[in-house]
Amino acid sequence: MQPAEKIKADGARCPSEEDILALVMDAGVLEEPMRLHIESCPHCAKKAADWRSFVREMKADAPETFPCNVTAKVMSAIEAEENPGKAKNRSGRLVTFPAVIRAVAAVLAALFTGIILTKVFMLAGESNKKMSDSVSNGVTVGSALEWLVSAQEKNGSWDPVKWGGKKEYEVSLTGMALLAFARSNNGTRDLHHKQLMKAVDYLILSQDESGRFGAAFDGQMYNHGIATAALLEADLLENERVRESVARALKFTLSQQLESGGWGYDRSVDKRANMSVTAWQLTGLFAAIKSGVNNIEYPTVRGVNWVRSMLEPGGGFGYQMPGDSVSSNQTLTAMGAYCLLGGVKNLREMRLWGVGAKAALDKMAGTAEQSDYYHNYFLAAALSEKTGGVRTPEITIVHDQMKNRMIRSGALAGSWEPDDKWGSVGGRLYATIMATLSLESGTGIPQDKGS
Amino acid sequence: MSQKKCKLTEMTDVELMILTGGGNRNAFSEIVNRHQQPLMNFFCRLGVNRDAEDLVQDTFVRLYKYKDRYKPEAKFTTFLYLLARQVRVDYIRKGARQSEIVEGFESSGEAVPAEYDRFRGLGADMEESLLRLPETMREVLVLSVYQGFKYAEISEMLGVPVGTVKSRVFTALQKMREELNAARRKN
Repeated sequence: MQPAEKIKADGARCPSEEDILALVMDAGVLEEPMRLHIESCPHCAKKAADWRSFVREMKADAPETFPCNVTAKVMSAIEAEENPGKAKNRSGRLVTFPAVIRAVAAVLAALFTGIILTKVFMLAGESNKKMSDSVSNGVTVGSALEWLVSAQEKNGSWDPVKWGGKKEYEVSLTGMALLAFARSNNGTRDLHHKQLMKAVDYLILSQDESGRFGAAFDGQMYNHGIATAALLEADLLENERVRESVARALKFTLSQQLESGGWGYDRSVDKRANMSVTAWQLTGLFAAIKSGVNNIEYPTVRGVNWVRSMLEPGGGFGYQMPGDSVSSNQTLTAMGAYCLLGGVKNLREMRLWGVGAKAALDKMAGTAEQSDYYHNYFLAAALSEKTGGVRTPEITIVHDQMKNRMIRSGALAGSWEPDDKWGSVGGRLYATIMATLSLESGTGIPQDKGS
Repeated sequence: MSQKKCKLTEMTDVELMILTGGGNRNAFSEIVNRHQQPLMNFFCRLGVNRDAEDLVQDTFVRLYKYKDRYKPEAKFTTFLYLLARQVRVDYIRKGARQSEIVEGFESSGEAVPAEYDRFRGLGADMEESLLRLPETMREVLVLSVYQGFKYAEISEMLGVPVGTVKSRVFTALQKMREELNAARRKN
């Protein structure tokens, strides 16, 4: 409570600043004499005017509306709640029977997706192109996941060296593989639960006391960001061990956030944020928000704001500053769009981020023909964020690209050639996983977890 | 039909709730139309994000369930936001398991950990500043500044004395004003 500051000549005491604010807020708590005093006393009137100005600014700066139209849903929900009650009065047992039939049908439908489709082909004969696209996507993803299963090491990791990549990225590639399993449909996840848990075990064991996944080196934040995202998207927070690991991981992520709001390489050496490392940290933070982790919004807002600050006039994004990117331009644009759209989807600030994302997506129109797996993944992911996971012609181009390039026979069937600029870093594992993740983005099926 | 609809739009919230209690679903539909947008804003400004629309829906469903308990003497919006708060508390409790994941961030009652003090005021804008407030302060601020409730109404909703509401609003606004002024001086 602010003490009374002045005594007027007539002996009336000035009210506290809390009371002055209460008048400004029209809070309904002040008695008439105090109101009159505030309005007539120059000292109090000045304070009231200052507060009025600030509150006006607050209201002006707040977003005016968040679109909402739930009337039909509310009335349907009420109808649904009231009807079972009526049905039970008439014939209690029978009400449950149709519900059981529907549940059984849903389970059967789930069994017919993903890897089961490759063996059973229950949807053969479907003439609808959209459905057949989903089927062929599912078949391709199924084959890729089978190849990944065959390539997994006994300790749960995926060894990049065996497949033409660099050892120091073993944690990233294991994390990416886990993401590919986590983002597959429920039937496939259940089928490969054992492999998924082995990967989780490996990642948790790779975590040090600071919460970082993997060893310290200049690319450590790739390992850490990807592994964190993967553990969150695996949707295993019921497991205490996973929960504790994720808690420590998020603390490490936040400890590495730079003053600019982005993330870069080892911050003890380099204080500059870059788009690529930031994009993977934000992937993890978006997953954390979706999982219901509280108090993670502020750092995420700062991260997305940093991405926005990289926006170039033409709609592209810089790497460490606007305009600095040369050869990876389209990939950075895709990453930037993905981060902004992920921010729009998971946070509240729709206005400025959405505008930036639209500019980026316009710039990327027609780039789906490129052969860069990294670019294509972030392009598909950005488009998927924009459409809420629904397939569009642009996403279909990316998917068709990936499907056409998969190796379909021989020992390497289900994998992709590491024939882009990052192939020598991540090898066949990188190419296969990025292609798989691309195919899992924007499949046209509403997703209730992950991206 | 249009004449009946017109009548509904002219009715007060209390009248509509009385009709709802009597089984008139159109009256309830009008209540939803009228209050869904402000409710949505309420949840979003408290940081509910993606699930805000679900919480709006849940609030109205709960309101409908309690249609027989609504007493006309009580101000309708106070009752509605009391339910909205309950819905939000249930939502937070449901996610409380995950909230334990980021331990210690709320231990001091601060929304932002102390080690982030150096970021305070950096690039701050109104929304970021609001987001940085501790939960208890953010709630009273949203209810008073954005939803326009009187302190006595907020006191009833939150179950705290009016003096506490007055104090929280003042502290919250003072904090935000200081941050924003510091950020502007720096820029």
